[in-house]
Amino acid sequence: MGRLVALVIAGTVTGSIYSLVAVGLVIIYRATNVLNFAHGFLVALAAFLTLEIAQHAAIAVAVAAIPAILIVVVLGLAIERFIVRPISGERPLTIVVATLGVSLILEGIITRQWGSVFEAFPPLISGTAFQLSGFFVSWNQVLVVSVSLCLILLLALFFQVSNLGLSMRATSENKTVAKLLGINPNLVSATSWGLAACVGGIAAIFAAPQVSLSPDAFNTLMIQGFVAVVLAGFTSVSGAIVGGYLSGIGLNLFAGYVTSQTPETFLFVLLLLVLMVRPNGLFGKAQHVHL
Amino acid sequence: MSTSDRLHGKLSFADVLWRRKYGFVDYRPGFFVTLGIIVAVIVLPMEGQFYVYVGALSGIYAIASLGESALLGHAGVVSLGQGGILGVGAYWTTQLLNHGVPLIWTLLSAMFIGGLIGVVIGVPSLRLTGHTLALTTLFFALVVPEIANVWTSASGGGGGLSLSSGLVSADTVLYVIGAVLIVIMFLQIRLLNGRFGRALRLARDSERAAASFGISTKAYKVAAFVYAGILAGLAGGLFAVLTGYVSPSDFDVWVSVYIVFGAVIGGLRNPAWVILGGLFVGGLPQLVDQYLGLSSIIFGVAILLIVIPPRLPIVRRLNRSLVSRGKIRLNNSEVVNP
Repeated sequence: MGRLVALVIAGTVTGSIYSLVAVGLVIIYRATNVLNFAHGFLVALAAFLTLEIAQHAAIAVAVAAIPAILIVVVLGLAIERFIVRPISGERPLTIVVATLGVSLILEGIITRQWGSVFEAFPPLISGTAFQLSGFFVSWNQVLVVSVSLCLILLLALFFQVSNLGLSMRATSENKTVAKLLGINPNLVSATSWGLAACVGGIAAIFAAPQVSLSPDAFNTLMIQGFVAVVLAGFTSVSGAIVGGYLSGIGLNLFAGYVTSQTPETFLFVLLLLVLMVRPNGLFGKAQHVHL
Repeated sequence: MSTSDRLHGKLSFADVLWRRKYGFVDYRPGFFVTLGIIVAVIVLPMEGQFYVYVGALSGIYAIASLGESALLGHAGVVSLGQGGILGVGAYWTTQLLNHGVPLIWTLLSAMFIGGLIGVVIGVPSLRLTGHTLALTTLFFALVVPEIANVWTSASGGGGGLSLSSGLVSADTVLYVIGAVLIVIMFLQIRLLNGRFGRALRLARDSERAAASFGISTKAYKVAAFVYAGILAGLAGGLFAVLTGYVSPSDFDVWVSVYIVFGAVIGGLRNPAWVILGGLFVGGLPQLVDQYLGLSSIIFGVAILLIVIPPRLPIVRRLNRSLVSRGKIRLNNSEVVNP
């Protein structure tokens, strides 16, 4: 029993991180129909920059995270403006290839700059919060879960209430009608990339203490985000959150009870089973996209 | 079919448009260029093992990209999992050669295995579309190295598997790859200009129209996956013979991505250009690594420079004005769907 509780708690923590990554992917996909393959390395930059700033300015990691995330948001906006927007009307495959090109560049930069950094990323806060059936829950884990939930609530509020959020939803429903209503598609596109970079950056900083700091680790993070997105269907933001928690908890249970050596095989089989029953994911709508 | 045919009433204008879209693709441009480059790479005396290795590796990527281009350009589906098939083919080849099976049978069976995996990926793909299919195939490419890491008895685990018998010199591999490329180029042009290619493109553009012609969209889609799988299996087998050593890290996701890059750079339709695209993605990173370092940054910039500028509005306007003034002729013999 204690083992189960421990695994579910650990799964909830990783699930929170996955769902933040997945939400970023879905926001961009819904607003611009672009599957952003550069997301993993873009958010990875937030973690590496945080460590760099914290060391150079000798400030706490939590403080250093703010300028780091700002830089990543600006970079996300730049990628949207100068790479994705000029080819936005093209075949989706072209845009996918362009984002893959961007991710190659980002990977190269990270490997070159921080490829030899083997430092552990410090958790944002330390100490044990409480004990649950023999399992220690750290303040950091509490922080990750609660901040993620707050962010998700904020996003929900943003999409339900604010003008910009509503126009983003309108655009994802029907681009032409949204345009006729006077919604600026460029603003929507830019906002989605900025938001995704911000949420993803926070997720990367949460994930960094738990993984070894290497570019590959963050690529894996993006893959988990993709799993959550496909599991839930591309069109649903709330679905992506559920998908994130599902894959996080499922992965931890599989690692705890079966084997920790083949996480991706487990996710692949899980995904195939779900897609065999629901080809558009658990919550997705049917869509006809020719890549 | 020439303009004079049309003028003499042999074909209506609608016929011409129909044939342009679904019928014969003009594969002449680039054909002799590619043939020349392949022959030159093989015939010219190249100095050092490194160049032979780079030449052979580029050829391997070109073979895999040819298969991918049939999927992307003609069947209208995407597979980001070709690298996984390449990996399986390479492990299969190494094991069989180590057990003393002759090279030719090994490579043929690697092609068979690749085709089988093509069926395995192709059948689920009938229900999935667009990005879901792309990501599912990507996960397949992720799973192969992971299983290779765990299944030590078959793959040697993380330490990899070396080829202990049936070794062939790199020069011979280069010759074989060159010959294979030329043969496949001819075959693929025949295949895509024939009944198979026409049916594939019609099935891609309209399932109803295809069905009314008695074409099974599902069978043709799976057949395209099988074709791509066969070429990827062959590429994997040749890779194993070339390097004499395979390990899980040889088949990470980037291999699949590079294969797609090769097909996209080559314009997806014409096998001659696709071969050049494959040679580019196989060769450039190696050469850049050798002389400059930073290969992924330079390669990423190269991809962006190839993909984005031709699609900028200013370039399009320039193209249109050049076409209207008769300065250039755009090759739009087969319209790629948007």
